[in-house]
This record gives sequence, C-alpha cells and structure tokens, in this order.
Amino acid sequence: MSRGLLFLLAQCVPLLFGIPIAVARGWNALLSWTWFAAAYLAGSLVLAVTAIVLSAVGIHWTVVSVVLAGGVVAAVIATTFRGPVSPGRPGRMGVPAPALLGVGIVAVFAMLATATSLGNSADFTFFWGPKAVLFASSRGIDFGALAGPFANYGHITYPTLWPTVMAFSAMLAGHLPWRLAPMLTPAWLLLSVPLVFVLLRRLLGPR
Amino acid sequence: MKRRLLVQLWWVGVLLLATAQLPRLSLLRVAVPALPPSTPLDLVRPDLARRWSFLNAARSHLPRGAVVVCQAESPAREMELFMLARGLLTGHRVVPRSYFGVPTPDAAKLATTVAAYPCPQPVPDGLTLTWRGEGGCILTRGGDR
Repeated sequence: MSRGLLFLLAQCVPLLFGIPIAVARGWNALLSWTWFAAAYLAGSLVLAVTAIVLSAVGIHWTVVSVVLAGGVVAAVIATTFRGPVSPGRPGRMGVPAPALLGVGIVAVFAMLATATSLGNSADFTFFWGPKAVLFASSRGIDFGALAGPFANYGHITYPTLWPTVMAFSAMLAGHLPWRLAPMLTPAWLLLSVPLVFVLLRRLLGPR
Repeated sequence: MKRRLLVQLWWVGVLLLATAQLPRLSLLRVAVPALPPSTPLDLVRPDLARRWSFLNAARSHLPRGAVVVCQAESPAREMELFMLARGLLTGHRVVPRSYFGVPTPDAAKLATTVAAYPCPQPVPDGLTLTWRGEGGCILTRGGDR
C-alpha cells in the first residue's frame, strides 16, 4: 500500500473517535452530512488532546496507545454528554440550491488551489509541516525540542491541533507526504460548512 | 422581517467575498496544466520551491546522523533554508548559521555538514564538496576536525 494512501486512511482514526460523540449529541438526527463533519472535527480534537496528554505523561505514540486512549476519551465524552444539543428537531433542514452551488464552487476551487499549490502557504513548510514531522519522528510531542534554543520561530505556544493530527497520520504512513498533506486543509473549511449551516438554521428558525 | 434582513445581509457578504476572489480564478489557467506540482510551493514562492527541491534531493546524500548547517547568500535566505531543512532533513540535526539575522557561530561550529544554496565558489578551505545539486551543494568538513 502506498504511503500516501496510508496517510489518507489514517485520517479515519479521528472519525472513529468522533462518531460516538456526534451520535450521542444527537448530531446524526440533523442533516445526514452534518454528523460526519461534527464527527471528524470532534474526533480530531480528541486525537490531539489525547496525543498531547500521552506525551505529557511520557507515553510514546503508537497505534495501540493512541487508539486505546482516544477511544476511552471519546467513550467518556459520549457517555457524559449524551442527549440532543437542544430538545426536539430543529425543523426542516432543506439546503437552498444557491447555497449548495456556492459551496460546491468553493470546494472545487479550494481542492484545485491546494492540489496545484496555488493555495498553499509557505508557513506550511516553515512551521506546521516541520512540527508534524518532529512529532511523528519523536512519536510524541517533543517538549525538549520545542524548548530548544532555535525552536521559537515555529510558534511553539500555538495549539498543536493540525500538526498533531498530521503527525499521527505521518507516523502511520512513515513520512509526511508534503504535496498531499496541504490538500487535506480545505476539508477542515468544508466540514465546518454544514455545522455553520445548522447553527444558522437554528438561529433563524425553520424555513 | 428580521430573518429576511439577516438572509439578505448574508448574501451581500457572500457576493462581496466571491467577487473579491474572482481574479484568482484566472490563476488556475496557469496552475492546472502544471499538475502535479513538484513541490508544495511551486506557485506560491517559486524561489522557495527551488530551495525546497534542493533540500529534498540533498537528504539522500547526507551522511547518516549528520549535523547540518544551512548556508545562503543572505541572513533572510539562510533563515528560510534553516526552517525548510528542519522539516525535510529528518534524521539529522539541523543548526542555524544565523538566526533571524543574528550569527550563531557556536551552533554552526557543531556542524559536520553544510547545506549551501547557492554553492560557494570556490569551496572554502576545510570543506569538501560531496554532492552538487540544482542550485546548491553539500559540503562536509574535513581536515580541521
């Protein structure tokens, strides 16, 4: 199996963490694609926090340690915060065709922009990518390296959500696919669209 | 009424944002034929993309466990090369020759290998040319260590 494909498959791990949370919160009762977005984004947060805590207590990242710990965290969250986000269904969730068309155009442009490198940022190769590589090769958050004399250029105090999720995938794949990884960044933007839509629909009421 | 106003305001915002991005669509005419890019920076910073390609090619020519210092024509370029190298030269320790324009001789003298872009002509005393790539080269310290 190619390393790039393995890297993409590793992105399913956050999804696995997030599914029980999304279902427990009742997101699956909303738009069919909203729960998927909520699952991936919540699962990524679980993965990042779990991975940071594992490193803080001195446990190296492995597939077993991260999946087990993340699974426990996800189960605890899903059990503790069970129940719909707000009582009752939010009303008809029909998506206006112009909005769907607009999101579709943005999605195609964003994917093309990152696939061609047009939409990339040099910061990816300066800070976020190297951080992911460092974490993947160290099998954890390398606090020593981050505190090193020539590390402060890399925004060491920034939250490490994206680098940590990428590092876990890079660890499984054996390397960070530098040309492929930026193509995943529009996914974060696009997955937030259905969530924003549902939140706005709740705010504005049924159509 | 409030809802209608909100929706109309939302659409005005959407159209404004979309209109501002329209000129960028023409860039795709250049970008799409160049698929796939050879680096993640081809159309963002072509100069940086060339450095990225150099370092990417250089990593298979570095001695195992080398301590690498990055050398460029100016402190700003040197800092960029250092930051790129931190991500690309995995398995090696990368130290700066200068850090945000401030020379770091104590760190640089730890280096066993120099990743130079561009390659210095002539090769400085005490260094041996071990690999020459597109625009740069790898030099290793010899004799004085």
